[in-house]
Amino acid sequence: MRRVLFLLLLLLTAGNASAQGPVTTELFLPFIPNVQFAPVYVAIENGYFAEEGLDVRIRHGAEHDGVDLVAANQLQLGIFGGEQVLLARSQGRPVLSVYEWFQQFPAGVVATIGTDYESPREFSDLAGKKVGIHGRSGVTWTAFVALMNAAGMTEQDFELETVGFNVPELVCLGLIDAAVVYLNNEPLQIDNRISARDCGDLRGYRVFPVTPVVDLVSNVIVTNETTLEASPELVKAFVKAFDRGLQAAIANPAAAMLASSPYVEGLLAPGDAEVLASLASLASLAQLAMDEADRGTMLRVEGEVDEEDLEAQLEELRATLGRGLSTSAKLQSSVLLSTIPLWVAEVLGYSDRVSWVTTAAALQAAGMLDNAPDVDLAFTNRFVPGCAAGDACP
Amino acid sequence: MTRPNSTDVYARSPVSKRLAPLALIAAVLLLWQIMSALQVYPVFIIPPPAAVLQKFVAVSLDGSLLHHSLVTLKAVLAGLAGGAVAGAALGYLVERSALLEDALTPFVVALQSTPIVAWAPLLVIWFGSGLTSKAITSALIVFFPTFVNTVVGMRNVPASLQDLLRVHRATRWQVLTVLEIPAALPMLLGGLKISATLAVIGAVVGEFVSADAGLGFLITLARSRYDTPLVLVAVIALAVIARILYGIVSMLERRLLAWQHSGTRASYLQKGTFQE
Repeated sequence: MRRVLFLLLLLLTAGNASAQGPVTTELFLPFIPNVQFAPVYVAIENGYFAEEGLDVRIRHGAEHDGVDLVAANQLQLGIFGGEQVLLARSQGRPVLSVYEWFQQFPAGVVATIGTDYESPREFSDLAGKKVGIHGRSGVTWTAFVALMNAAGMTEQDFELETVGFNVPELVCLGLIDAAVVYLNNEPLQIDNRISARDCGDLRGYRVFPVTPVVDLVSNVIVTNETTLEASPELVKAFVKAFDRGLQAAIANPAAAMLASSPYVEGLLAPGDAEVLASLASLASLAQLAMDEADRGTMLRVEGEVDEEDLEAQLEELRATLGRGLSTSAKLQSSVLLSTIPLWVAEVLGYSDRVSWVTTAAALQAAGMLDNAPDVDLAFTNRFVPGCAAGDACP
Repeated sequence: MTRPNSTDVYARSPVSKRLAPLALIAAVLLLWQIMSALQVYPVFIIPPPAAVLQKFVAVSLDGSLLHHSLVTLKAVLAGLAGGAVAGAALGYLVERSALLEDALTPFVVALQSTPIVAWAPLLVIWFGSGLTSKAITSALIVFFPTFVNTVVGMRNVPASLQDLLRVHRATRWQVLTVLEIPAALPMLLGGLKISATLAVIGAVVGEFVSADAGLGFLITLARSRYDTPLVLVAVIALAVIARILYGIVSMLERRLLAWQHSGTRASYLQKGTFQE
């Protein structure tokens, strides 16, 4: 009898052990699969999520739909613009940021340079010009409103035209003088067209990014209050793995491109994978003398970010990656390398309260926020690994 | 219409015909209110009817609902007119010419099978983000039902009546106006009824891609601000516009096809008054 009971117990224990597999969780990402989501792909491919006991699946869709899915707890995690958290909270959606992925706002204004090669020098020089906007919502509109407010200008100072995502075409056709853009995307497309002599008479352009003018909250990892209360370990595990993915993507963009290729259709052409693999491993070989943890590091960002040094390293990398890659992979690697400066910070993922207050103020000034939400409920730094490890976070 | 094998106990009368949809609306509102009260979904996903009504009053009073509705209506009417005229004209020509039929039909079918959302961004690049691109988006979606119904309608013209007109030496114009158009009219108006509702979809797709005004723009704006009551107000406004247009075409149909029931056209044909 005892033997039977023992066997039954063993069977039950075995059944229980097999049931304790990784926790499947769906992550909502806006837009479509893109190399800009490389840290997520790296965290999956390198097994960082698996090490935390998570099986992360990706779902793409419209940003507002994603926020609602997370708010309704139909999904537990998503990556959205920080301003979306404030807008959603002002309409009663219980969502909050747990990790500020982008440390710089990814949008700004690109303005074509006139025949005098001088103007526009400042954002205010765009008064009276035809400016293309994606629409009166989202990240780019928030950026434009913030720039307008900072310059003491209003919509009436410009000839605004809603152009959707056709900015490079319209700029090259000379149909608009300036446009609100994603800094890591449209300027590169315009560059490519200029290089291919497919951009009309365009002489050049000037970029007015938002971040030096106004510190707005950018893309963040978002969860809901129910998950935060009921499953904080899920949030902690996810953030920890994502943080590792982000560090790895920054350190080795070639490896990040490789990790992204199963997710981003058409990212690499035949032969690109071999080029990237050799570059990624070369970085390891060249640094054999370093500590094991440093091997495979193509880009070194430590402590306080030295922007000049970072830009010099990126420039070198652009040249290296551009050498053997196909045209499309070259463009995508440029997108990735242009995005990395928007991620880096002394403490990855840390949210500064001031930037949340500034963002709320910008949204209110633009008439986009009816009810000002409590910014202190809109974010938390308690899951940021850099904050948990040391005393770098206030 | 009689339904001999139906188990329907509903006795139709002019009063019940008007009351039935109102009763359905009341039932839907009641169900909506119950779902909202029970919080089957959070209120930010399904707001209570009162919140939507409140928003409706607010945007009606500040004039924004009327402004956006008129912008959309303008695109819808322009698209409906353009698409219907082009569809009917091309449908007639295709029915008259085998060469045109062979040359055009594959392209028309291919155009129809391409989702309009795929064309909309291109139309914005080609025609700008103003009324023109929305009207063309709407016209493209309207074109096909009108085209097909015109072709089918023209093919349904009785051969015996065509022979009759030929015997009476009717001119081409007389054949068109006295026989072909009236004979094809039921199908043509059927196509127009479908087109009237599709035109609204076309215009809104255009407004979703790129717009500064219109009900499609209002939905995008409301979504971006997580204002679900405003989304519902705009959606209901679109449904009302589509229903009104459908009603206008139905009314037109009843008037234009009144002769079918009175037999006027048949007696006209029997008089044999055609002149060379």
